Amino acid sequence: MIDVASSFDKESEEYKELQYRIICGQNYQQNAIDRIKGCISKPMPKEWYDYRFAKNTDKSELNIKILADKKPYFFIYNYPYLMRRYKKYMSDVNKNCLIRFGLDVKELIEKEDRNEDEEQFLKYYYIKMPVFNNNSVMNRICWKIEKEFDGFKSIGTKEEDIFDSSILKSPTKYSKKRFTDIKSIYEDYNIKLREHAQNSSKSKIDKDEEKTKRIVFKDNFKKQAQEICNNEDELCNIVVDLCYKNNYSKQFAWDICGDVIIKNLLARNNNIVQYPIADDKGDIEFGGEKFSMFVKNLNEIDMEEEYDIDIK
Amino acid sequence: MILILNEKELLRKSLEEGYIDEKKTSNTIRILAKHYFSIDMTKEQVYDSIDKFFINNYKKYNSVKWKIGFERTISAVCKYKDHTLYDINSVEITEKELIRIKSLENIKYEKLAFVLLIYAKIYNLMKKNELGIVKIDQKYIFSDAKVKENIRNQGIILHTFEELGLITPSKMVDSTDVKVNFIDKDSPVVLEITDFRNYVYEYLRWKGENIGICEGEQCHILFISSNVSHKYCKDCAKKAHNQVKRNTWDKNKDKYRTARQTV
Repeated sequence: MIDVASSFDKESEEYKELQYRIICGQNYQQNAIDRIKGCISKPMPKEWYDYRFAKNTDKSELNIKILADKKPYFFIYNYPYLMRRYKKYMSDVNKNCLIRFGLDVKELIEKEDRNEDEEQFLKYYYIKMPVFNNNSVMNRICWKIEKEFDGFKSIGTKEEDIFDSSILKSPTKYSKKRFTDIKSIYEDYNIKLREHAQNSSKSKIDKDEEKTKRIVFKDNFKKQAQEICNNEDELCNIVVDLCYKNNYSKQFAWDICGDVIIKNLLARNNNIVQYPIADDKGDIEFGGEKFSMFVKNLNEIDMEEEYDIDIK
Repeated sequence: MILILNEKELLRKSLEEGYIDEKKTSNTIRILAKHYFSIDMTKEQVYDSIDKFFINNYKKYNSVKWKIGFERTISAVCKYKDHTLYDINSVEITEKELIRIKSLENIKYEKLAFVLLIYAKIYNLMKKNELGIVKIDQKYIFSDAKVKENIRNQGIILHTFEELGLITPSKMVDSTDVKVNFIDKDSPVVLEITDFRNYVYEYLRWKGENIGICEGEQCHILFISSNVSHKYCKDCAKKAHNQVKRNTWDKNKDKYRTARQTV
């Protein structure tokens, strides 16, 4: 209702009526909660949110005008089903618009001298849209964020293509049979993950629950993989080849054998690591602070640790 | 061809051999539901029968997870009064229709118009009417016509068709249906499509282009032939090549083995 109200002038009858309904809505909401305790309560009038009822009232014109039968645009990020419906609607409308007018919807909206057919098309485009895209505060914030992130996903895909994954591996060799065995359990894992993703996209599943399920799948894979190949260097090489030579998730390789990958990377660099430390005289600027690069040989750290243990 | 034209055959395969369309299991569910409704089963009986069928024939089946999907498909099938299974074996194309397509004088447009015509005729047979409405997403039309275009260009090409009066798009803003306007049943039949794999090549063959029929065992698919010695489609050519390799090995295996031993 707040979203619908944003499309009317503050002094208008529609705006005032909607403000009244918003206040009443809060009361109806509280009543609905109390209803569970056994109280008798009045539900929200159906003509406020249902077209069929709004049509059959005395003030049908006003009721239809301010009908709140859809969710506002930004809700597509809250409900996966709404996002799906919105995307499908936009894709279909664009196709229809292109066939009829040779323009997509965006171009048609920007077109200045529209004919009757085009006006009619746009009228129904807004009516049939599964969400309200009024100029409400939340919708405007949503569009601003969308604009900021527009095209963000495509960054970095080319760099991945050039990446040489052999630096993550050790010189250990593996047999073809072991590779195919690991690949088959990896494919099983992918099927399970896909099924889980499909289920969670249909319903709103808690993020922590989703995370735990993924961890369970990964642990199962680890167990099965270790039964086939108990050499961690060999397993790491197989998993790296599986994930980096295909379009599979790279995160998976790091989750399964991240520690071995780090070990391999260190071995290639003589166990020397470089890392930035906050330093006022440093030559690297980041986040308003200055940093300097420090070099540490991990072989020396190991020796120091051993020495400490001996003293204790 | 994305549409299932021979549902009767698929039903026979499912009931006799336990066949399930693994790429799109909903196809099998729909066909089975149609069949069970046609023999006067209730919704609950249909559900139980399909559930039993999947338990017996599909390893990945999970009755809890699939419940909602089953119920949705069964309800959708139940809504229609007509539960007869499709059995479309051929589509006839008349002379005037082909001449109209040829008059476009653009091979890309001609192929698309031909595919649209085939789809319109199939839908007429399915719905038992003469409306010529194609209810399929345009990506399948372009894929069948073997024309590669992005979504925007696809729409613009179809807009050209609309301007030429070949099609009429739906007035509903979110509908991608189009009505094909150049169906002409009165002139004599020139072409009969019975095989719906690469069927767009039938039109090119009619136009006189060099189209071959694969000589592979039980294949007979149409393909663009580059020369006279081109006998097989891509898949069959691979099989034939491997067979030649195997035959050569069998013929000369003694020779190869002795050569290996001496090394």
